[in-house]
Amino acid sequence: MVWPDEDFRYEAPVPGPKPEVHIPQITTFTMEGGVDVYLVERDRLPTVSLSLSIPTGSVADPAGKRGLAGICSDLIEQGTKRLDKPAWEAAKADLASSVYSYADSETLGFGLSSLHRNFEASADLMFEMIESPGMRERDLERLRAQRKANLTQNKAAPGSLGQRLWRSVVYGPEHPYGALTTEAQYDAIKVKDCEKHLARLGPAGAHLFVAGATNETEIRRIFEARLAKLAVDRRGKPKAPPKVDIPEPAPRPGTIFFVDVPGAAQSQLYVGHPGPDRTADDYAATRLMAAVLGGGFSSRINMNIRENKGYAYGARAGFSYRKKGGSFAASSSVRTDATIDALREIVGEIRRIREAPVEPEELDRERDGTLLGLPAQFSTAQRVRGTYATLVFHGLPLDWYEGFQARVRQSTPAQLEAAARKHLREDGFKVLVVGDGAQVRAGLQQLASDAKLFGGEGFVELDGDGNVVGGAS
Amino acid sequence: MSRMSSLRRWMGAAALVTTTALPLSARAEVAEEGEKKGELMGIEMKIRHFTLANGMRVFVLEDHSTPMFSMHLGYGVGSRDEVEGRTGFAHFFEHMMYKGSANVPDGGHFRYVLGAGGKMNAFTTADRTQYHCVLPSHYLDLALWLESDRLDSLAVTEENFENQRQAVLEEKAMRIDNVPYTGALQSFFSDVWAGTGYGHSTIGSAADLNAAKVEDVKAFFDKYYVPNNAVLAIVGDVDYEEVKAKVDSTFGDIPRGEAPPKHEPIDHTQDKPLERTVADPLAQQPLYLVGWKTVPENHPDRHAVEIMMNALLRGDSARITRILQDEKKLVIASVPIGSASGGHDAGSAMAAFIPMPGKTFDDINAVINGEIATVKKSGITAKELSKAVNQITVDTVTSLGTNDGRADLIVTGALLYDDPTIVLSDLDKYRKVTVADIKRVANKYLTDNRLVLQVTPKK
Repeated sequence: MVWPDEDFRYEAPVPGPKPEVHIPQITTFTMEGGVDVYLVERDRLPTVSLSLSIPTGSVADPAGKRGLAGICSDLIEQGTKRLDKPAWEAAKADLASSVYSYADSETLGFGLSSLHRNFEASADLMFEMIESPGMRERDLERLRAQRKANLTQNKAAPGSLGQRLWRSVVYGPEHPYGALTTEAQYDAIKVKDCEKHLARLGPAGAHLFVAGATNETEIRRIFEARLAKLAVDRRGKPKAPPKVDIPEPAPRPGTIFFVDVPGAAQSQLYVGHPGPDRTADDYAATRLMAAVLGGGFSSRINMNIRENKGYAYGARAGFSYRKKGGSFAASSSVRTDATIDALREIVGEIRRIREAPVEPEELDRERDGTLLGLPAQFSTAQRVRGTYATLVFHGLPLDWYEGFQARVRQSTPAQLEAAARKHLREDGFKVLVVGDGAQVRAGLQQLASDAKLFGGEGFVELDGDGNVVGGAS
Repeated sequence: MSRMSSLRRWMGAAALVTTTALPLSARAEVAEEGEKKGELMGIEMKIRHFTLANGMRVFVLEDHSTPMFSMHLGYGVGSRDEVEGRTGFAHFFEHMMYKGSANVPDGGHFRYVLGAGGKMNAFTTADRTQYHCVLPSHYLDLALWLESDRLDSLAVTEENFENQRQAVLEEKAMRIDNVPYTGALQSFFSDVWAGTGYGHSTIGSAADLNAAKVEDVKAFFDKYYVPNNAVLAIVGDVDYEEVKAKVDSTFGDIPRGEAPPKHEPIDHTQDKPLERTVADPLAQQPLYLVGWKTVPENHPDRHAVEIMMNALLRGDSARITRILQDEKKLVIASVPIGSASGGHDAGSAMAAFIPMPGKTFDDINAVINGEIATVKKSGITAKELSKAVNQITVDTVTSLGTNDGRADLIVTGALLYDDPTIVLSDLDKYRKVTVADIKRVANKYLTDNRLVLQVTPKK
């Protein structure tokens, strides 16, 4: 048989007619008391999920009590005045529901997911948790011990240590986006702090994101009056979640920041710098450019580091976005003996994409991939909810994807080059390496002195809490 | 190969593309065809299936709600099929399969799929290797072309082999050697199942990969990558008749191979305790693991054993977790082990904990022993039973919520149980478990011949 040679196998099949990209709409309405609701109605599965998202977060943690929002949010979900932790867990498990409190860096809030038949009972539990949480000292003690133990463990493994420290390197250790939580800060947080924290969390300015087998009538019936009641404190005054102004990044001097993990099997690398806002006009071009550079398997950085050099299992690069100011990072976990070469290659790729337009084939690939991949972002009710929640978070209009598709379709190599020049630096990178000092320290010190490569602000060794070891050079 | 030359090769290949579509056979050569239906809480799985003359089994579930489909192609080969001295081969193919075939250039698979807005990946377990992708529905031809070309004519060359050996060794360094506890747990699981196909890790040993020759790798491919050892599931916005015709035209003339060897049952006898203590330089706290050999997945007691373990250990309200974590404050956290040990024909139940500073294994053990004695004597409560069943029901509903989840469950069911809707019939079996069953399996399997691992931080 001559099967590999059949004519049709020579060439990639050409796709059939493209189905229309239909972006599912979302229903919005405002409840009495001012909560904006974003509802994705889908009844394919008999489930509902929902989250009440309040515009504050761990960035508002007071200095000296970093980690407050996170640990308090955990404490809130340890049970209620009526139900201690085991009884609370059992009550949720009886319904097979999850009812939770969460804290991210710039939003926090409460949520649930349940079978539709248990939706109202789950909402009852959620409000019981918000209105009369247990706030027991013994639960806080356990959470504190857990978090401190995690911290100890995270400070010992290169991957988690890199994740822990990278933002403090890019934004600076005093910046709200870069501040680190330490064991001492967890020790300083008391039940009373969490009570005060919760007392300020009202629904003013909050968003309720709902997805699944429900509708506006049901949402209003279950939530409207109860949310309105949450808006004021015991004295009848409106609650005001803590706000924080985000200053410009203030990284400490230094180019290559290094953390020693003796005997590490690989070096964890980050190379990057602060980046644009998510609302920037050239977001589409920036995203396509970043995809060519380090977005997927076929990206330049991955092909170079993994496929051609065999330095690592994978490497990637891209922008991440916060409310105010994003950041750019290229990262990889590389063979120890390739640490220096991998850093040179990564910087080489960043410079190359600034200096010449991308190949038309690269642009086509990422443009088609982005457009054709859009339906996947809307394939389940939860994904639709998440996609719209991101738009709302960044203050973008709900029809943003319409314009985005047009901008992607019309993008050119010149626009990508302009985005690269504007948003990627030529030098002045911050570099973080976590690895085996005995094998890589000397090479990194030498590399840091090469002003042409990274900017020449020098080599700085850090400990797991981001403190300088032995003074900066 | 330099980056540029590979890019040029790719562009050269892309330039050849003209307007061909896959041929549609006039009449698909199908050996057997049928329909299988299941229903769970209003979610219907109406699966139509056929088997090609070469033995490849194909399952199609139409769902036109989004213009996309998920495709899972599973091969009945996993690390358990590897022989001593040649471990890591099954997983190694997960990498080789993206290195090109007769008509698809090296890395072309990624470029085609990503360029079509799709996603793809693959995974290897002890029992199977599975390749999956999600694509817009008008790219069905592309998906079938890519998968059939590599099954047909994978480029198992010296150059590809060397290059991917390096990537796999770095994957092992990143995922196992550089992560606390992982290496210690894996070598313990290997000890537990020593002498069976499950007695080594799926990623294999660096020494074996370094010693492997390209001919060994090629022989492995020829033995296991045959249509009669493959199951294909396509779920989403596709048409059954079209799938049938196109699968036949792309896969139909790939010749059937020899039937892969059947697996012998695995002896679960454990006539004395197995205890190990391992120092882990990356660990900052000790880890204690306690477990038992139980039953293979196709054993009638599997459902009762799973419910028993869930009631004792899963979630913060589970019996043992609640006492250790909340009442006595002996542990900081429980560490989920899941099905990391053994596999389809080798079952175990395990629990692992990070103790509170200052607490010992003996403290934790006393609680576990006490609770196990209680379960042996009086089972669990009806409420604990229904809670455990509820949790499993919600897990199942969640997995069935996406095309990808359904395609995966279909392939798993067909490959390992010869039943693509096993997920639904399983749920029935979980619901039929009684408190008496729990008591019986507790007495039968939770014996004194335990599997015990202590990981100690190396200072």
